[in-house]
Amino acid sequence: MKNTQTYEEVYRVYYPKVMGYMHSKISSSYEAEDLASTVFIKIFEKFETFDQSKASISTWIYTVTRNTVIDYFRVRKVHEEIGEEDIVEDDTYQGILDAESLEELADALEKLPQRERDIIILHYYSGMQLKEIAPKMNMSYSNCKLVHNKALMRLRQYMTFD
Amino acid sequence: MMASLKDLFDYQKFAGNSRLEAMIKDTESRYGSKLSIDDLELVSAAGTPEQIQQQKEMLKNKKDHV
Repeated sequence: MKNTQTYEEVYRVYYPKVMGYMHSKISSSYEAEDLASTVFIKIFEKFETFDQSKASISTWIYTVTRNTVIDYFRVRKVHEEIGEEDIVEDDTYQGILDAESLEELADALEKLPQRERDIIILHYYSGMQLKEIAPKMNMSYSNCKLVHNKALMRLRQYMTFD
Repeated sequence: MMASLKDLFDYQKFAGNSRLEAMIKDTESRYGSKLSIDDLELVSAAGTPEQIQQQKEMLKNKKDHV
């Protein structure tokens, strides 16, 4: 199944998402806009040949966006801003990361006690280390690790991971 | 599993699920988010919030002129 959307439609829907992602990773607005333009040039180049039966357009654009950010940090060798484990370019997310998987995560997080949910969000979304989170939450580091592990165990029960 | 969670939250930064967004905002409103390099530079200036805002605007104007 070939792509049925026009490039203008895709740009209108996804430009804010691409910019939102860029701003979460890159502090300079100028460079974030520049990289967003790079993303849409790459998308435009492959737009005609993109096949929606192989991956959703959202996942494809996310993958291009993510890889563009990885390239940006790789070129500048600023690996502190993005974890070393992130410096892996691939498209294995296709079929795994989609709107449904985020709904599943939201369902699971809502079931967690607030303290556990806070630790998961601060660690995995905000990128804080458990050592940074513990004093913010008035907890010892060892207790923070314990609560983090409990939260992971609960999430394993609530979610299906590959 | 840990990599999967990290990937899901990274994807959230792109896709912006509204339910997750609400939970994230709630958590960050209570505990704050990680400061960006720009913010850290401004914090080191040890100014008042008004001064920090002024400095941000000055930096923005400077960039606009470049």
